[in-house]
Amino acid sequence: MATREAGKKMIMLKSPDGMEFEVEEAVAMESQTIRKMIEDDCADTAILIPNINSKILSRVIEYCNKHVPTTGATGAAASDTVAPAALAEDLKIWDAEFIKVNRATRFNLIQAASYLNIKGLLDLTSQTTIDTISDNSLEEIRSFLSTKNDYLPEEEQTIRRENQWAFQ
Amino acid sequence: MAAAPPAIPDDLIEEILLRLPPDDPAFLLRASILCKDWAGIVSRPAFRRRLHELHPTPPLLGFLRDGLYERIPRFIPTTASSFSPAAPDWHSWRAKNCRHGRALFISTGKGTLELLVWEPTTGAQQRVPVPAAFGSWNNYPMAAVLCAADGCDHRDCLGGPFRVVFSFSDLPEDFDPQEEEEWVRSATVYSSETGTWGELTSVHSEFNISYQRCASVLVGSSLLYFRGRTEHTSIMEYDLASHALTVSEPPDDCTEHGCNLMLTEDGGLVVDKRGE
Repeated sequence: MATREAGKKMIMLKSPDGMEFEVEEAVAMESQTIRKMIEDDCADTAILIPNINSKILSRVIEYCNKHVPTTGATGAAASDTVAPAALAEDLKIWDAEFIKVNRATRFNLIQAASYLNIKGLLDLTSQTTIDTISDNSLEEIRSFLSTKNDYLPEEEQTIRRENQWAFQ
Repeated sequence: MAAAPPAIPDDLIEEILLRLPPDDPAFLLRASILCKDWAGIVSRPAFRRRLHELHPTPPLLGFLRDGLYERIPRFIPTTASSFSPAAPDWHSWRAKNCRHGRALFISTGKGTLELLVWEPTTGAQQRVPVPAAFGSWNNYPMAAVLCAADGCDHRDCLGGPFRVVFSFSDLPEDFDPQEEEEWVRSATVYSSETGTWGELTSVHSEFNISYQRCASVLVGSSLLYFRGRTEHTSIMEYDLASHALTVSEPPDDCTEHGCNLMLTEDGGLVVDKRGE
């Protein structure tokens, strides 16, 4: 297994389009899916991440790099020197910048976060979509998600009539 | 770049919809009307179950009030949501109890008393006759509702079987307020599965007990307690498993201001002596 720095195990992640990414094991283990592979000893060579292209995979790694709990050379947590609240605030600002992507990329990130089982990234990407759903009209959401309204007009009317309070 | 967004699989839609704000059910309805797929996703029992896991303490959307003033609405919302269930009319029904997603009402009319079980979430209503043993000579009816499914976590039991516990007092014959009389308190259980009331359990007590305005507490899966009113404060315990009924005095001096029964987080029972 590749070793870059003393004490830091490296893992090779491969995207289906042939790109290889060398990442610290701790960063890769932000993904519960990869963690399980490593723990089950299935990760001796490079791990192929199916269905996630190199562009998305590099963004996911960027996210994990930022969110991995950092430890200093002595093993002391970085939060010993930086106040946890300041750290969390910094992460929030970073997340907000990170998620400023087009909708295709966002949906790819949701899929990647789901497959790789990265809770923080799934929360972030899904919540951003929810904010869009909460703030826009039904037609805007349908167009945003490329979803077609498949209700007959009378079916939709019935739902609206029976639940008037929700559509005021 | 105007790339067409990829089709999102249902499980990811579910992942997204789980994050709708829990304190406004309107979002789920609006999501349902987007397309039939989405309506299917939010209607699945598995979706509701995950929603419960994500929000273990359900948000309080509001409460019902029994009141004399028509200008004050029956349902008082406690969130900014426009959620407003069609509660049974307060002219005809008094709210008595709620538990496990169901609310129990008792009729206010002069005729035969009747009970009504209402599920605010589904809107379903079911009328239940009062037990035949309850006659015009009985008073102080008290009732409580609970889910009847074994080992249920009450996350998906709406429309399922329920029980109603009904309790009342017997007015002694030749009642003389100057005399120390022996009163009888009785209780029985209705099963929605059989549509019948069980056998009546009765207990004698030295005084009449009005539990009418008091809330009941379910401890474990088999005990119901009621708090007495200021005068003659007492605790009534009904064991749903053995149908045993006991009336006991609360610890120490709760009598002056009455006291409240409350559940502790681990399911135990405490007597709150701060009064009403």
